[in-house]
Parts: sequence; structure tokens; C-alpha cells
Amino acid sequence: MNRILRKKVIGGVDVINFQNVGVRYGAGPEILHDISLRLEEGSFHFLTGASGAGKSTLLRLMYLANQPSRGLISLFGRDISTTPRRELPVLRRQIGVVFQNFRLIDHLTTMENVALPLRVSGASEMQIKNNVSELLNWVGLSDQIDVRPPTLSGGQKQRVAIARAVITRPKLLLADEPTGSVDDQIAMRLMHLFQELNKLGTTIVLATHNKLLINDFSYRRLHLSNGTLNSCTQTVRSTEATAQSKELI
Amino acid sequence: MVWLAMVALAVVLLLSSFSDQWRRNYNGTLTIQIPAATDGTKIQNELRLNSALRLLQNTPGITSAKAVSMKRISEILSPWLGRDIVSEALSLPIPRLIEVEFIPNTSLDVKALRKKLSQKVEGAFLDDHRVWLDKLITLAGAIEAVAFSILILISVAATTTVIFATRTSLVIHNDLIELLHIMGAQNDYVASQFHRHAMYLSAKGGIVGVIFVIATLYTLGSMWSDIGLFLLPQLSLNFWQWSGVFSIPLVVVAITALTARITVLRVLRHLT
Repeated sequence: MNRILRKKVIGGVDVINFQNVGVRYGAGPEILHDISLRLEEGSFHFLTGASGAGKSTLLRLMYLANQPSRGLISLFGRDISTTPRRELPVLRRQIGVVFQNFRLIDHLTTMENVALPLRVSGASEMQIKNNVSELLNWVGLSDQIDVRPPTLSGGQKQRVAIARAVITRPKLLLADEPTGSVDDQIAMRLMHLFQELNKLGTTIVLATHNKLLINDFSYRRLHLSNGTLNSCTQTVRSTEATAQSKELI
Repeated sequence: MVWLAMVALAVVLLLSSFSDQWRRNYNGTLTIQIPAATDGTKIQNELRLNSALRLLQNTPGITSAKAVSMKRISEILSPWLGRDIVSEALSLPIPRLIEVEFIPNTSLDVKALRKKLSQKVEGAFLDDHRVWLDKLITLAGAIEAVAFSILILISVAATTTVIFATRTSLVIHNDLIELLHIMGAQNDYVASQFHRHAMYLSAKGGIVGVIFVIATLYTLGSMWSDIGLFLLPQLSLNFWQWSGVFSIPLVVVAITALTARITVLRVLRHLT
């Protein structure tokens, strides 16, 4: 698995930089206003807020699915507004996204779903076969390679979605309520998986309103309220965090 | 659509081939009718025939002038009169026929020959086939034009169908396309998925169309042979014409793939 993910780099490079970003749909009121944030490489953040606060909208801006109505967004040091359109896919390939509703493709097998980002980026069949098999083994789905999503449980689907998001070794991982459809035990196991990824260098933003996770893991919290963003850092509970991080799926 | 296009093209090529065959077969030929003399005897009718033959054989430009035998005449009449009645019919004063061949585009003056013949043999009629041949060729040309129009119409309809089917497919798979874009797919990648699928579907349809075309043309060919009218030319196409007909499925696949690709790229360019 380590050869699939990079070694952790602790640095001060901004992976994401928002400056006074606002989003409005049509002529309606702004859903997000004056969002300014900087996420460093190798950092881990919870994105919290009440339902309808705009977490998914903020994440969509981060993975370039939407454009802001105003403000500046920089990704991996590049100003998105001046980046040519044909170069945006290159930036997107450095981002892994775990969707709230998984968004797995029902007519593809587990293997084909996870392999999709590699195919999109033009990887060879040999590369795809080796990397996907190894990753599915790592997330505990090696016996589900040839099944299709409708036959998988919620937890299994979520692991497939996570595997698909990380197969290309993204620099940034955005997860929208990845534990929303699973029980607490599986939620904790998924969190440990994210921790391992973070240790290997991936910057992670995890949108959730699971208080158990937020309380048990000490990461910077980005809180959305009334369309504005506040951030705070929780106290480290180092012993507990270390013990939990040793438990792999 | 493949079946329709292939049959339409085959009809165009066949009719074109028919027109050429008719022109070749009847260009440079004449038919002379020598009616039996009123109250004439058999000998008198033979003298009239020989008189006409001598005139024709001595006319410059004419390479051959032969009387059609009674046996041949009975073969010509039998489809209409029936074999049983032909022998009785031959005892009636039916006209004798002379088949004439001449070198086309020479100085043979058909009008003058017609006049000389009618003066030499009373009632003799010279048929240069122009009247009915021109009408037949005109009819063939009209049917060719209709078949060609059908071919054009099919091409336009097929292209339009592919455009709208692709657009519908894009709407249906909007979610999947967005997912691919989020993963970093270029528009070319998305377009290639669509055009490959379109190629696969049109190839499948093309194979079915070809099977039906083979069955249709085989059936038509058999029916044509059974008709056996001497007036109708052989139903056949040469190698290049057959190649043209059977290249239609490949052309359809290519047009389908290209149309799908262009449609997808145009739509995706408008997406944010």
C-alpha cells in the first residue's frame, strides 16, 4: 500500500487558498459569503455545520465542480480564474473526492469503479490491475472485486468510494459525509483509514456532522454558519489517537 | 436504415446498369416489320421479305440484315399466346421480322431508309426502337433519381437521429459525465466513450441490415430470373458496384461515430 501512497511531507505549501469567495445561484442571496481559508499540505480538517449550511457547496468549489460568484480560489498554488480550461482536468486529477451518496457506477464492477480515475488519466492496463488489486486488498474488499455496487453493503460501498478517491494518489482528499450511511463502528474504521492516508501526505477535508468523530479526533475544524466560515483547533488526545491509529481495517 | 440505404443504392446502380445495357443492345439495331400482303399467298409474302432483305443488304452502313425465323417468332409469341395455340397462330398472316445491325454514329440515314423501304415493300415498317427505348431510359432515370433521393434522405435522417439520440444520452448520463469531469477527464475522453458506444450500436444494426439485404437481393434475383422476359436485361452488378453497396454499413458506422463525437464535444464545450 505504501508504494501507492506518498510519504508524508510536512510543509507550508497551500493546497487550497480561498480569498473572499462568495457563491450565489442566479439572482438569489449568497449561500456562501466572504469565505477565506488556507489549507496547508498534509493538514487534516473537519468541515462542520448544520444541514443546509453550505458544506457540500464549499466542497464543490474545492473540487472545481462550481465556480464562485466572486473572490479568488487557488489550488496547488494556481489561480483557478486564470488557469486555461484545458488545464483544469490536470488539477482535478490531483483531487480525490468521496461523495455523500458514493456515486458508484452501477453497471461497473468494484474493480472497474476503482480503476476509473486511472483510466481517465491514461494509465496502462498493467498499472491499473496491480494498483487496484492492491488497494482493494488494503481496504478489505479483495473478495468483492467482480461484484457490482447494488450487491454491496453501505460500508462496502463507502470503502469502494474511498478506494476510488485515493487510487491516483491525490494530493487533496475531499470527503462529504463519508460516514453518513454507516454505523459508528465502521465510521471509526473509516476514520482510521483517513488518518493513515493523512500520515502518508494527503491533505484531507472531511465534511461531517458526526459528533463522535469530531470529539474523538483532534483536527482543525472549519465551521460553516449562516454562509460564513469559522475555524478552530481541538485539543490533542494523543494517547487515544495513537492507539486507534494502529487499528487498520 | 442500413437495409434501406443498401437497397436504394443497389436499385440506383442496377437501373444505371440497365440503361447502359439497353443503349448498348439496341443502339445500332433496327427491326423491320413486313406485314403479309392482303389476299397474298405465302410465296408473295416471301418475295416481299426477300425484296426488303436485298434493299437492306445493299445499304451502306448496314452490317447485317437477317430475317427472324418462324421458330423464333413462335418463341416470341408463346408467352402471350401459349404454346398450344402458337402453331395455329403461325398459319395466320402474321408480319415477318428482319433484324438489322448497323455501325452506330455512321452516315446511315434512317429516315431515308424508312422511305425507300416503304416504297419498295408496301406496308413495311422500320422501328429504330427510339420511341420506346427513350421512354424506358427516361423511366429508369426517374426511378434512379427517386432512389438516389431516398439515399440522401436516409443519410440525413440517420445523422439527425444520431444527433438527437446522443443529446438525449448526454442528458440521461449527465451525472456520470459530471463524475468523469470531477475525476479529471478531458472532453475528448468523454466523447470517445460515446462515439465508441455509437459505433458498437451502429455496427450491430449494420450486420442485421446486411443480412436482410442479402436475403432481399437474393429473392429479387430469383424472381427476376423466373420472369424471363427477353426485354429485361440481366440483374447483375460488377465488383465495384457490389463493393459500393456493401461499403454502406461501414460508411454508416463512420458517420454515426463522427456525428456522436462532434455532438458530444459541442455540448461539453458549453458546460461550465
